[in-house]
Amino acid sequence: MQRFANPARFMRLSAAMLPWCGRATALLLAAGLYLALFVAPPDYQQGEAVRIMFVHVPAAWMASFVYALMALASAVALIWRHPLADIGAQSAAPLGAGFTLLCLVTGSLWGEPMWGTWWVWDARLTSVLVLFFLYLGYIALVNAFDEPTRGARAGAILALVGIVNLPIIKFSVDWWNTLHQPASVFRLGGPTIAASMLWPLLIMALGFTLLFVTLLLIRMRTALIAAKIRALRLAEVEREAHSAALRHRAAS
Amino acid sequence: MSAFRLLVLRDLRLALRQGGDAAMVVAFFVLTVILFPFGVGPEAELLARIAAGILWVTALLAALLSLERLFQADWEDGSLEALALMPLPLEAQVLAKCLAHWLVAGLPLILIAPLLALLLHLDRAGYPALLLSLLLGTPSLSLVGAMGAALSLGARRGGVLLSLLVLPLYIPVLIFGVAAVEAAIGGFGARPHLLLLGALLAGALVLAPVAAAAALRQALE
Amino acid sequence: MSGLDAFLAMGGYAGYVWPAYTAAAIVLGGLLAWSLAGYRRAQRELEALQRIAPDARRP
Repeated sequence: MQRFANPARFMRLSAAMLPWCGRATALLLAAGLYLALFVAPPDYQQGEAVRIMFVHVPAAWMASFVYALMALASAVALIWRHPLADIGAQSAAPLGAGFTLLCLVTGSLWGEPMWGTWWVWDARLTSVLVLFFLYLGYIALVNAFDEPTRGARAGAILALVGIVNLPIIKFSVDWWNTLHQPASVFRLGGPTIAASMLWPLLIMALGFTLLFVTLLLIRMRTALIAAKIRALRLAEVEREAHSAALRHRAAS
Repeated sequence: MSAFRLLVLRDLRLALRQGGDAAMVVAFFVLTVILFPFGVGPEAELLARIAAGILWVTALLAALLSLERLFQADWEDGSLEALALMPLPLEAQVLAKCLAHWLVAGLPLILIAPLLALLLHLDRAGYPALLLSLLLGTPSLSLVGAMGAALSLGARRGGVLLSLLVLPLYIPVLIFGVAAVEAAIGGFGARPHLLLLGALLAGALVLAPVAAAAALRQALE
Repeated sequence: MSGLDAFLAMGGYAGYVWPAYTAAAIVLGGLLAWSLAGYRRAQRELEALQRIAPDARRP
């Protein structure tokens, strides 16, 4: 019984939070887009192409942030067996994968005018590519078992292994990159990022974050409803089996 | 300690009785390496430049091949449950399995690697670094692979899933393994890269059995 | 109109900037649509089940 006490509270909380999260998301994204496309000045080196940064960098931040969140949720799931933690991690994974994919695509679109090639094995993009496969592995593992708890637990272990490996992978990719790439440092608008570019960036990042929270809440509610459906179905099967047994006994 | 040794010997005996595991891994290694000259052309200079990478990537894939069955047989016939009840901690049992796996699937690769390096015209200065890097790196591959095998035990399409889980985690070992060889060839000394490989091995020795044992307990619940 | 043209041209980088923002719209919008669709489907299914067998309190 205690298992469902928390989810009920979560459903109430999320129902209250969702409209505000949704509105805040829309507001921040609208403001961010306006700032990014109309207010931010073109970069002296990259011209208007720098506007891609306002989508690429927040996506990159979200890609790492969501994975860290997944790992945290997985730790909670494994240590305290909190039912919402598993659901949180699994709901977040496709969202993180989406941000990672967006980061890769926009990175590629940014790379072509800047470096003259659609893909560059630069340390950051390569690390994000590996991160993308970490997400895919997690999603595949969780969905590879018929029994949902087995998939959840295996996924939790994998997420923790992944978060430990992530700095190692980033470090080794960075090392590998310095061995093979000429030092190509490009600076955005000078040695430090100009305020006129920082604000759109931060607002877009905040907008992405709130979008993530909104979608996460929706997905978690969906997962909890699905769990309830399974429980109801199971109860129905048990009822039918019970009444069938009674009929059988009455007939014999 | 003797329980540990018993387990290693048991796995080795099973591997030998099934026969062909080591042979298959070596055969795959050799065949795949041989494909590259057909793919990129037989020019010695080109092959020499990519030899370290070819050898390492192929060794990695060859090690991956034999990992799927690491726990499979024991799990299917129920002996995994019995092993879990043994006084020897599951983590130590995983280590025993990894050692057996490495002896069957890792060591033969190291032994045949110099021959293949010859075929790829690897610079002579790279040979010691190649052997040392494989020696330090392949156990990590067995350990991380064992963890992947434990996680995907009993999953649908376990083999492909295993590759998806494990290959991203192999990348650091690959990077430093190749870097060691290329550093030796370039005259920079392979030592820092070999030390890093050693550090990765040390980390894997601690992390992988813990994660694998946790995954195995999950599978047995 | 030249203001709008200049804006759309993005200093010659239009072929990169606009696909990037479009990709963002597709990916993020897609995630939103997918999540909402899943949610609504689950809600409908739950309502259908609860109509058949009203939510009995667990013993």
